[in-house]
Amino acid sequence: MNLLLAEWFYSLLLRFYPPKFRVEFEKEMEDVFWQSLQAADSSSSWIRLLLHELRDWPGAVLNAYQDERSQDMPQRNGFNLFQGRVLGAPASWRRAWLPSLAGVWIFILLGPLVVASAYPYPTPVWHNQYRIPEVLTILTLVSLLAGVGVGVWRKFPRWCFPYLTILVMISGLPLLLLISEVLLPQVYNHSGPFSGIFQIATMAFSYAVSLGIILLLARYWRPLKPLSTSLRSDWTQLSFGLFILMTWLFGQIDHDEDPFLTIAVILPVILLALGALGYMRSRWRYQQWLSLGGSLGAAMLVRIVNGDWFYAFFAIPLVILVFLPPLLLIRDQTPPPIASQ
Amino acid sequence: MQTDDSIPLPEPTFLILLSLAPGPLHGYAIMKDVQELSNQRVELSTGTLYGALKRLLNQGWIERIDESSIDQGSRGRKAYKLTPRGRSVLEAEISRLNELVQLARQQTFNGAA
Repeated sequence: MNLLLAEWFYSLLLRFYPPKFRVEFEKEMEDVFWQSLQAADSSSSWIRLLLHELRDWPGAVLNAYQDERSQDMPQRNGFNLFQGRVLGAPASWRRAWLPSLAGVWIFILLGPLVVASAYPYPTPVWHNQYRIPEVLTILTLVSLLAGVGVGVWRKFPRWCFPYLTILVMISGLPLLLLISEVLLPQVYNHSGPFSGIFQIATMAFSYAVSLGIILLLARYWRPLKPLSTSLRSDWTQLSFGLFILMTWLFGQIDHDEDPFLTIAVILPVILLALGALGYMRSRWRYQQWLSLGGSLGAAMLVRIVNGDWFYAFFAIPLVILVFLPPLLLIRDQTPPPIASQ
Repeated sequence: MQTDDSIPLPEPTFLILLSLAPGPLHGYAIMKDVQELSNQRVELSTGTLYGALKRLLNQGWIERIDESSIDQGSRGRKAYKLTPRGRSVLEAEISRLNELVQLARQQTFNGAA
């Protein structure tokens, strides 16, 4: 069991290598690692073996990329996990801005909407005078409908995934209501020191079921096949989609302990929008990961420095939520054809 | 031939070439051989080993062969063997190291005498 776990972990590490390298050596490396595992005579030996691999892994991955980069660049196929050139990235700088802005637009709206809807204290004069929450809500809804519509029409380009995620969240609401009000109200309304965790778990379950249903439909239902094609060609789009949830989460104001609209609330939302922009503007896979991971880390840091330990507590689950699904789902080496952005 | 530009070789590269000098080996055997040659001092991880093998393949110092041609029970595993070019690089590096050792000995024993 332990050996299988070690092998699974090792195969996860291999996914960070460049695609050409993986095609050439992945199977051999797995074989060699498996032989080393079997030769390890005790549990401490295979742990030592795994730690040894882990220690050399960052350098080996970076060297592999450096070697690949120094070779024939036009031959990159763009499907790799970490660095490959982004599929469908428009050649023209000017043409690239439209999809980039479309991708970031929903972040620009949703961040302020979450913050404004939280009714910060003291409520600024302009808040009610100009009906900021209402205006933002209408703008967000219109943008959401337009984004989803155009996204479906353009066969699910990269920029539309945050819009789709919000749609999935909305479609999960009936299930959430069903669970929290009818099926398991005692779980959702559990009172005690971990009541918040029960609520979050119920919400996460409802949204995961909605997401699962949509992914299954995309796999087997013809009208949604382009979604499956687009996702399979670049699983990081799933991360980008889930990334919009971070805006919702980081825009929250703690009404019990710190009910003020401070820079610690505004800055993370701005950082996340910049991360989304960085993702859309990235030409290489590692830049995409850096944009999402870097901005998420910076947002987390701001909230933690501000004393919001909730974010430190959920740091690992958040990172897993955003980055693990694509890591687990990346399988194919040869991407199917993809519609351009 | 790029022999002069390529040496001195990094130690893992030298040990890998050295392990392939007697004949073709597959990845796991190279790893074990390097460990043994270095008296357990150099332990290659798979990432380091295959990174080095890829560079050596690109430089044309080693080539890949189907191991079933040398071992019938190997189920088509890949093995690696030195090319004539790789052998010259290895020999050049060994000469260089020899010269260094001789120089060190001369210097040490002359100084002591």
